[in-house]
Amino acid sequence: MTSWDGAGRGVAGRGDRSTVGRAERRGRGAAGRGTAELWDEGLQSERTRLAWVRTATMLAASGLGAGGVALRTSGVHLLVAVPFALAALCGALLLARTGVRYHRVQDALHGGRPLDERADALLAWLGTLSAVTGSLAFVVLR
Amino acid sequence: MGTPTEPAGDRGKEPDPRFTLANERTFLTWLSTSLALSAGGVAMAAVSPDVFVPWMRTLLAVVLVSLSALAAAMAYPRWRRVQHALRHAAPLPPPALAPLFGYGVAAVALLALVLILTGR
Repeated sequence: MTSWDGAGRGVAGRGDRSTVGRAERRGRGAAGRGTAELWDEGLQSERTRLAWVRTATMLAASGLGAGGVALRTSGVHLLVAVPFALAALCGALLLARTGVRYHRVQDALHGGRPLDERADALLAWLGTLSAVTGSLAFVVLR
Repeated sequence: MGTPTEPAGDRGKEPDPRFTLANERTFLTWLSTSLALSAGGVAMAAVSPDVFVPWMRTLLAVVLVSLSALAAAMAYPRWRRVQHALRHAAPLPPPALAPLFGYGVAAVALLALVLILTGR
């Protein structure tokens, strides 16, 4: 159980893939990077990460989907697709930032530092507002 | 484990990280709700004209997208307000608009059901 790779493969081979086991192993194996350790039993950071992934995926998908619909609908100006494209871009950026955000949260939790990051939330908010603006324009102009 | 919030800190105390993260997830859920309502509105507006009466279709789409705009607009201010309340161990702001979303979506669903059943 001293080497992360060896231990990981050995235990995974036996079918034991519990998150706790993996987190403990990684925590011990990589000194100084305790970010994979569980912080509490409620899996706070993991649930938050999934919520971010869900929202960013919805943002990207609805941006692309609605933008595609707007472009294919006759009688709707091409410009209506612009806010949808912006929303999709915000979703893609947020998805790309998932890992960075998660590690920042984990570090803050384990280091006892305050958690209040607003930049990503603002990006998500602007993306959603953009998608809503596009939808309003589409619904009214259709 | 995080330290639990101490009551009544006037200058504000760093809240329990679990509450901060729960607040963040609630904010994200409001955004997802808004996106889902928008998607519903766009889908309703994009439906082919012979499925629903055109003005009815537009009305339903506008209601859905308006609800979506409302949800999106209030999400960020509400997130900040809840965080402020957490810092000051104050009562959380009430979910004042929650009934509106419930009844609004129910009304749209009912109208759509009537339209489907009457074949218009």
